[in-house]
This record gives sequence, structure tokens and C-alpha cells, in this order.
Amino acid sequence: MKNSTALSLVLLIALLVAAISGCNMGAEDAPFENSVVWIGTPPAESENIGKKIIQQVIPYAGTEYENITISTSQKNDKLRLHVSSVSANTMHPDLYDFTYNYDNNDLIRVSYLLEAIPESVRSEAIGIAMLNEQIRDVLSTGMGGNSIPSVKRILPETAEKFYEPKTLLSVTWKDSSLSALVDVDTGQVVEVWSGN
Amino acid sequence: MKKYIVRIMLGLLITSILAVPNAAAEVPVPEPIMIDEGMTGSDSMYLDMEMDFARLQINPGHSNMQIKPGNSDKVTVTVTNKDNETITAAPFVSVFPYGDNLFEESWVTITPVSADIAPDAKQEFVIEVNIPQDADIGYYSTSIAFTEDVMPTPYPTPYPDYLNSMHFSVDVWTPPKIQIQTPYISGRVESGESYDYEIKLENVADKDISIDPKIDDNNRMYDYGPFGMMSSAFEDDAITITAPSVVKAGETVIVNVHLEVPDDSKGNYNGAIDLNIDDPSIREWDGQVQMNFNVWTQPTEPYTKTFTTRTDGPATIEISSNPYSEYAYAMWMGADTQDKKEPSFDVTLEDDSGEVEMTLVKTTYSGSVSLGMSNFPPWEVDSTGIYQDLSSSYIEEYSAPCAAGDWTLGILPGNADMFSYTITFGPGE
Repeated sequence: MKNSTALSLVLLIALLVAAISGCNMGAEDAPFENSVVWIGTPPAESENIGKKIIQQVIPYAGTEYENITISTSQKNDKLRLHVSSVSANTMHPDLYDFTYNYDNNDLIRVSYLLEAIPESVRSEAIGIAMLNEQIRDVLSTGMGGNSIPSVKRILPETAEKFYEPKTLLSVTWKDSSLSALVDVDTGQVVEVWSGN
Repeated sequence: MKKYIVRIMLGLLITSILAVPNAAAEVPVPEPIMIDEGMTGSDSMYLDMEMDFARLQINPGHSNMQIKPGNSDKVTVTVTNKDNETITAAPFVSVFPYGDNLFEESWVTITPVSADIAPDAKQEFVIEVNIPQDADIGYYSTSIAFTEDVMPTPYPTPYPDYLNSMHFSVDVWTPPKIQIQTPYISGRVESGESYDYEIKLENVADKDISIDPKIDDNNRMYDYGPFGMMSSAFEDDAITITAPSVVKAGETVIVNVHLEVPDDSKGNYNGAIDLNIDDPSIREWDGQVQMNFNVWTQPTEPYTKTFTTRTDGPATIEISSNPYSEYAYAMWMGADTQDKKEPSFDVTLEDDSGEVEMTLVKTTYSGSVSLGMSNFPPWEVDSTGIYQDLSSSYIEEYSAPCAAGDWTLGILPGNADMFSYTITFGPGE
């Protein structure tokens, strides 16, 4: 009787451990399997590369990527990956370029252009930028034309060079070489660029 | 007996009067530096430079955390002694006495409690934040000071501005129970027309949640122009909202938004619908659906241009849309990309004898694309190598037989808010 109880306990614990580990694996795999789409033939080690990409592409705070598409090209023995990530109800995608080195399994982010920003945040950033005296002066001369500015997310590692290591937004009037670096948290323009 | 009591009371009174200045002197209130008569504002600045205070470098200087009630998080702060003598750093929370939510000192534990830092030495402090289960959702901000040194001011201030401090903020949040699947409505609308939009709300909780969508009272917060606040294209009453009062658990409902654009409206409308969701996890701003409408009055009469040609021969007429309308073009498309509208031009050419037939010779889409190498702000340098549309244009080229004489060109644009034209005489290619 005692032996059978002990055996039952061991089996129960084994089942619990298996169930818990199964849950963990499922949780890790689910976002990758559901959201990444390879354009064309996936490269070698695509599953591993996809997982690494998922770790490096992060949507705007409070939003989620609905899908991530990856296209590839080969140059000088290096794999180049072009990632387009789309969030629900944003007008533009987030774009990332990576290179992947098969020798050391290293994924390096080369560039990013992040415009998948909620419309309310986008409007708020433009509003903050337009309250800045320098921006207002240039726009009031009519040099801003009729264009609506672009709003791009600047990642903390880039923002650190100009302000602080935190997510900022760049509001840019392309046809007048005018841009404001905006901290939406504090409602401030932290830098202005006017083409010089 | 009474005499004794009176003497004791008198003694206590005199003692207390004498004690007041001493007691006041013991209160650790930072002493304001007074400006002498005749001293200028710029002179007062030199006082600050001469004062003695500990010089610490705190990294990071700002920190922000997102924590759910009942959870905790921590951040490590490195403090470097930039002074030439050992400094004792004893961090403490200095709560800002303003803001929607007041930070609670009891939420924070800092280890070590204090440390002696030698010149040029570094000391790490771990700031751990524990948010109680019953904390209100919201944004909390405070300062964490590492020494008692304060910024001197020539006048009393409501709270001290600590010199060796960092800004610390915590966003206390919980996942919303209602998911707003249509967070904004935007598009270009025509005056005199009506439009219908749908806002989808999904209840992911296990209980019914009430809603009461209304136009927000603080509308048009960000309707700024280069000259300040701009008047709205139309009033809120142009918008009618119909919605159920409850979203049942696990169900999705639709809030209907009907817009009747007045005939005389011009410009932009920026506003918001406050869904008034009975869910404390949704903050005021998050429970809103932003609306942005750009009102457009479609012309019904063509633009006309008269010109004279001295010789018989074909005329070539080229009409192009605004090259810098990439984003404006997106506005034409509206939030729903299925509703894509291309620019177009109805073109006529006539003289005294009537209209001549025009032949559409060529249609051109043109644009310029940058790889981010030049004329971009320095903080967008990491977009180098990714294609970016700078401008795009739609061009139509027509040919028509033109006898010598006076002519009138008519252009009626569609889905274009700016266009340019050229009229060329002589044989084409």
C-alpha cells in the first residue's frame, strides 16, 4: 500500500512537471508561430532567426504587432533581413533591417524606421511640436507647405545621444527640413533640427 | 496654592517664549539665500556657484516603470562621487506635492540604506517598488534624493529641489477588460455629405460592463496650427452616436458614429468620443476614440485658364497633383484602405467655335524616394538604408489640335487639393 502511494505520488509529480514544461514551451512558441510570415523561401535556420527577430522588434508601448513579415536577400555571404511589422489601426508599419551571421548566429539590427504609432499619440506629438516657438516660427512663414508631418518612434539607444535613454518621437516636416524631437511623457520638445 | 499654579504657568509661558527661536532653528528647513539690496539677478547666480554641496553623478537620471497592482519591480542606480572628498549618500523619497496621484513613500525600498562613497568611486543602489493591491491606476511621479543638498532660492519654495536626485515615475496599470478595436477614426470628408463609422468594442472579462459613449467635453485639445488654436471645421452636434449601454461578457458590440458634414464647413475637426467604459483599468485618455476629419469641398466648376496661340498645331497639356501630398494622399484613403481614391482631372479645351477633343496621351506616377542619407534630422540616422517616400505625384498628359486664336482650358480636379499645369505648343515627340 505504501509502495503504491509513493509510486502514485511520483507519477503525479512527473505529470505536473511535464504539464508545466509543456505550458511554458507553448507560451514561448505561440507568438512566433502565429505572427511571422516569410516572404518567399525561408532561409536556413529560419525558425531560430525568426525567434531572434521576435526578441528585437518591439511595438509602441501598449500596442501589439498583428503580423510580422520578413523578406531576405543575400550579400557578401551575409543574410539581410527586411522586417515589416504591422499594428492594428495604425496607418504605417514599423520597418527593421537586420543582418544575420551564420558563423556566430549573430543577428544585428542595421536600421529601423518605426511609424506604427497610435493615432492619439501621433496627434499629441504633433500638438506638442507645434507649441514649440522655433517650430511655430518656421511654419508661420509658410515654409511648412501643406504637408502633414511624419511621426517616427526613436528608440532609447538613439535618443540617449540627444536627450535620455527613453522612447521619443520625431515629428518631421520633410518639405521644410524641420524636425522636433518630442518627449510625450513630459510634453516637451527636447531638440529641434532645422536642416543645419 | 493658586500662587504656585500661577507662578508655574508664568514660568512655562516664559520658557516657551524663549524656546521658540531655538526650536525653529532646529527644524531642518533649507535656509533661503537672501539677495542684498542693490544686488542684480545675475549677481545672485554667483552665490549659487560659490555654495558648498556634494557633487554626485546619478545614472540613470530618469527612470520609469510599468507595474500592475500587487506586483513589484526594481531598478539599479549607479551613483558616482565626482567630489574630492568622501560623501555619504543616504537615498530617500521626496514626494512631489502635486499631480493627479501622489506617490507613496512606503512603496519604495532602497538598498543599501546609505553608503560612504570615496572620490571617483561608484556605488550601486537598488530601488525596489512594491505596488499594493488596492493602489489606484495612474501615473505616479516623485524624486529620489541621495543627499540633503538643495538648490538655493532667493525666495521660499513649497518643496525643496534636491541637487543630487533622480526623477522616478511609476505607471500603475492593469490590462483593460474592454478592448477598443477601433481606436481612431480619420479621413477626408466632403462638406454637405454624410458618413457612418463603426467602433468595435470587445469585452474580454467574465462580467458585463456598462458603456455610455459621448463626445468628450475637452475636445480639440490638439487642434493647433502655426498661429495657435484653430477653429473647428464643424461643431460636435454634427456627430450622432448610438450604442448599447452594456457590453456583455465575451461579446463584441458596435458603437455607431454618424457624421453630417455641414455645407459651410471648412478646415479640420479634431475631437474624441469618450466611451465612458465602467472599467477602472481604463484611464480617461485610453477610453477615448480620437477623431480627425479634414473637410473637403469638392469643386463643381472647373478652374479655367485662357491663352492665345499664334500658330496652328497641336497643344500638349500636362496636369499634375501636389508632389508633397504623400500623407495628404493617405488622408484621401481614409482609415479604411479599401476606400482608396485616386486623383483625377476632367479636362476641357474650347475656343469660340466650341470644344475640341482631347486625347489622354500619357499617365504618369512620379515620386522621390530617400534612403535617409541626407537632409534628415540626426535622430533619424538609424533609418538610413530604408526606403522613405519623400514626395509623390500623379500626372496626366493630353494632346489637342489647336488652331491659332484664343482658347480656354478647363480643369476640374478630383481627389486632389493642389495641382499644377503646363501648356506647350508645337509638335509632340
